Amino acid sequence: MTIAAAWMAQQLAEFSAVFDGDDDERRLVLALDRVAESVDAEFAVVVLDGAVRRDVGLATDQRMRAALIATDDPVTVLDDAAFGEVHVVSAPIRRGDGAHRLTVGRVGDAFTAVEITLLRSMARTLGIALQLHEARAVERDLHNEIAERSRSNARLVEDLSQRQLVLDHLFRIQRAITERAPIADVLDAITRSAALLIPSSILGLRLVEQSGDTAATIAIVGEDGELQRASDRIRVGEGVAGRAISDNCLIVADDYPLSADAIEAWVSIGVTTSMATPVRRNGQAVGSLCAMSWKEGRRFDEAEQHLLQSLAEHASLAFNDASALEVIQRSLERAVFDSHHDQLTGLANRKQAIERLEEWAAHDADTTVIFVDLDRFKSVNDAYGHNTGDEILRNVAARLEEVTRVDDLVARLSGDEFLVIARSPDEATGTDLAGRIAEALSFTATVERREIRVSASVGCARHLPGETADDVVANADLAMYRAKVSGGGQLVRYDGEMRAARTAELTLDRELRYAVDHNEFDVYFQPVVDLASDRVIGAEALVRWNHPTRGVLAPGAFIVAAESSGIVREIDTLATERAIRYLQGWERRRLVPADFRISVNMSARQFRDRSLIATIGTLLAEHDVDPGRLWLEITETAMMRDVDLSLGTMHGLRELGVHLSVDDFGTGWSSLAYLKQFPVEALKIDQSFVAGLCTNGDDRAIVEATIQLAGALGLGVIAEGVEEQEQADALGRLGCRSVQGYLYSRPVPAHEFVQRWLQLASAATGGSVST
Amino acid sequence: MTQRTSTVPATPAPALDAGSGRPAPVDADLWTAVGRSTSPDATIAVGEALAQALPASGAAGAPTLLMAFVAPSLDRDAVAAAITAGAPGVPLVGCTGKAQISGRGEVDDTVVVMALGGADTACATALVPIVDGDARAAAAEAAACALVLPDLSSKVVMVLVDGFGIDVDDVVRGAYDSVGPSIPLVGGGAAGEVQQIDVGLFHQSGADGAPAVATGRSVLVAAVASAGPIGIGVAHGCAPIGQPMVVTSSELRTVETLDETPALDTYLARHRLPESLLDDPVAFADAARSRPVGIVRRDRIEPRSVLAADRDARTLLCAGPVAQGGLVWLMDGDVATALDAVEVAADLAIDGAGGRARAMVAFDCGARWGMLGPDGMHEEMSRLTAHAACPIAGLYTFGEIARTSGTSGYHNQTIVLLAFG
Repeated sequence: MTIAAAWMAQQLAEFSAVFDGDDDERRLVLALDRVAESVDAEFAVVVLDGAVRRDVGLATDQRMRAALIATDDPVTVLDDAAFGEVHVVSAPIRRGDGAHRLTVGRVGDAFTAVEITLLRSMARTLGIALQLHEARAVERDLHNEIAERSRSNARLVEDLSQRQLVLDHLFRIQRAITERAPIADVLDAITRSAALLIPSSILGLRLVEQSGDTAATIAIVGEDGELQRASDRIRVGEGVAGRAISDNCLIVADDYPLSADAIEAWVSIGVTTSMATPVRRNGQAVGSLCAMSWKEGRRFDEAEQHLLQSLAEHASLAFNDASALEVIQRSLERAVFDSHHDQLTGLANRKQAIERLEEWAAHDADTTVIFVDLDRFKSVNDAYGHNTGDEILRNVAARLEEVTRVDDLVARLSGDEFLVIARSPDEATGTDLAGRIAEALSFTATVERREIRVSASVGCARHLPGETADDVVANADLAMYRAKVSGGGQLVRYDGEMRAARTAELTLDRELRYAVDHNEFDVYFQPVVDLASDRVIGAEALVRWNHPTRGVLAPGAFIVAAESSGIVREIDTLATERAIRYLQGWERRRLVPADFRISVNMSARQFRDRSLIATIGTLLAEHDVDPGRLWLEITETAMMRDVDLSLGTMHGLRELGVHLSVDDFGTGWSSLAYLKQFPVEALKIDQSFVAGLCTNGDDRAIVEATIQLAGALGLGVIAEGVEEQEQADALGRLGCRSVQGYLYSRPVPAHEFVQRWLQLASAATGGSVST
Repeated sequence: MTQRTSTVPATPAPALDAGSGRPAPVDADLWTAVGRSTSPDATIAVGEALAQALPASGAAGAPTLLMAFVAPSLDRDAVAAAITAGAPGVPLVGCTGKAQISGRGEVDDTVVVMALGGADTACATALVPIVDGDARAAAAEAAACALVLPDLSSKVVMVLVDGFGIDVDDVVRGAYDSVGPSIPLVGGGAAGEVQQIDVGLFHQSGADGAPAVATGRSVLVAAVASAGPIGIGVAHGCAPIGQPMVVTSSELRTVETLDETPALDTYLARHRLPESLLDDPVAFADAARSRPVGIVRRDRIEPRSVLAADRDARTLLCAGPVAQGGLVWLMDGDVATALDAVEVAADLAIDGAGGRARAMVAFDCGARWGMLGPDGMHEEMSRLTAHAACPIAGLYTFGEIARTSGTSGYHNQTIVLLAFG
């Protein structure tokens, strides 16, 4: 801010500060002192309804007094016999009806444009203050009539509060200007204050762009007081806001729909009234401050018009610094570009894409929307860092631009999501383009001498008549989702059934969340039997969902949905807690022998949870259960996903005293070297191998090798899915001692498990298995 | 009690010089004389000074006005009694100053008296106590005495005030309320030696042989009219340094924060003064004398003296109000620039007096006196007398007053010279 601008802001700030006290008359005296002192004027006079209300420097000079009272030219020069040239500025004081003026005279020096602006702003502020002063006087008069006039008093108090609020806001704005707050902040403050002080309205501040033909919106504040950045433009000379700029004066459209300045788009959304006033720099309009209301019957009264003008003058004040205007214009251009473009890739952004699509959709143009999502991009970011990720995104953007046509719009929505909007006369053309995109995005990127495989899931949807932009993007997104869950790297075209399927998924997801919150999950137990003794030595706890309408559901009915939504972790924790709680009860009732154990499956997601150790430790402590009775089953795949993390977690669990086993052994791709490092104590042979044990040589070989491997590593081995006695016999012969499966029992509810297996075992003391 | 007096005059007004536009030299019937004393005894000092200033009986007629500038160390009542005894019935205004100016540049003057007389001069005086802190009303009432002056070509209102703890801007406003723009204002705040508690104003109305009084908490005005031109020169030798700052918090004369940073921290840092300077308040005051705060006006920056610092609150105490929300600069000056200022002020005053000063009254800032020291003061007076070969009297003040245009006229760190042509 230049010194001149800072000086002016300072004067205005000091002037407004005068109105802080309670003594109205004294405030008027001080105010006029400040007026004169601020511009080094010898004379100042406030004339209300043709009579002098207060003057400075005129007590001994009736001739000058009369001359100044008579002056109503905004700027003039008096030739005085005693003083020579007296330069005079006269500014209207807006205060109800009548002629009210602030007139200031200075001997010798002419007033500068900055000083004239300052004096006009002071006159406006003075008007507001005088109204407050008069309202206070009325309030005093009414004081004795409170009983019968209580309602009008209430209004008066409200009016007083409102006017004080106006002064407070003006003061704050002036402070912001004085303190050289960033110009954008000052303009925001002005727009916010306007919206607050002119109720039931939306305020917009616009600034002429460098072309001079258009004005762009700097800020819009709605009735909720929230400031929004908008990027719309108006044409200078059009509409209320545009004409305030071209005509450089206040424009008021009381009945907006009937006004010559009405713009159809605003009429169609119900604007009832509007007004706008110019924001000036050196007297020239460089923008406008516009208020509009949707409220039926709303009219902006004279006081509100003056207030809008006063606030616009404050914006003008901020623009008196030449650089301020340029700064905001440059930032405006940048903001307009940024608001439509993605900074990383230079592609259009979501906003521009949706705007384009809405435009085409409105005309039911032949349009195909192609939704692109890179596969495993998060892993790339995590593994190689964001710089590498960004380079890949730029690479993808370039390929998308290469493969699309000039008329197509390529946008980056967010992260690794891209959207292509293409004109396509028929479905085949759009699908062809989507196919080319999927192909082009299957490549190996070389970033910082690393080769990174890139592929994308691509979904495409054709715009159908009547669909909105959001509809067609959602359809393409859904098709992309199908491509993703089908393994990625492929194109899927949207069809109507996807919506139903997705809806079902979403319903399931909602039901799962409800089930977690309402305790609909329980665990069933399947006994683990020692082949040598036919004794039940433990049980595997298996989660079940007591669905209110579909009955008891095994994980197969919901686990995919639970995993994709992430709720599986909460379900796992619930299941573990349930299992431990049952075990606690059995221990207390002395139903289980000392070596009885419970095993619980852990999902990969739960296993990666960094709070897992604390969670298990807390559950064990809360239920006072011997940790040695608890076995956690972890799949090979979960263990091998992040070996270092797995090792840490497993050692942490082992330190709690919990035992670990490898679930579904043989189905994954465990490295034997790692297997040796992991602190596991048992392997569980997957039921698929057990099923073929007696009929398939390969399966038998795998089972045999697994048992031998376990023996070599000193690990226990448990076979699951044993359904036939022949399988049990074979396992026994191969050296497997622990088995579970339908041969002995399906998973059963806890009470049934107790009844069938624990009470029996307890009664028989080491009891035998009975099928 | 309010005291007033006026003397009635004689001659027509001088015309403006058609070529230069400044007042044409006029051989008005005006005389001045200055008396001084170094005696520490009030009675002796006043007696000696009056004896030198007053003309020999019948030589030039009675003076129109006496101005007395008195050391704070003298007993104020004794000073008043000595005035009554030495110049009975002659209007007199006076006050205490940090030091007295007689044009000789001596630091040990205890009383300096200037007598102004001549048929082409007139004066009116008034002493009005400040009641309920309303300095503006007191000043307005006191300055109103100027309204009875005859219609001579030049007038000036000299305002002396016990300025500590009041808003001297209000004193200027009050005087302006009464006399308007056609009469300039000059003057200053009475100064004491310590903490402004030993200040005094002296007034003798001259009417009905009323005795002189010594008082405080008042506004004392001498309105002078002359058929000759009157010039006023104002200058300070301070220059802004660095970038301007916003006074983000202040309370009248106490500056709390500048740019949201504690004012004292900013002040020390920008002037590169050590924190240890605050160990000795006198040392800080010495350093601050040449480092005022500058208030931004329309076309100038006006210094405000920094009097003291509050080490705990990290605030600065200034000699005048510093408005919150205003823009300020830190300023810097030194002996050389302070001495330059006296020449600038002298040139301006002499120019206004038609190019020739027949008498000069100086209101020089006490902070400048502290900065100049005895040698600097001597040099200052040498330069002043070199410019104005005429009787000079005045004092080192606590705040200076000079309103020549606009409505404001309170200054700090400034020399104000009033020249009678």
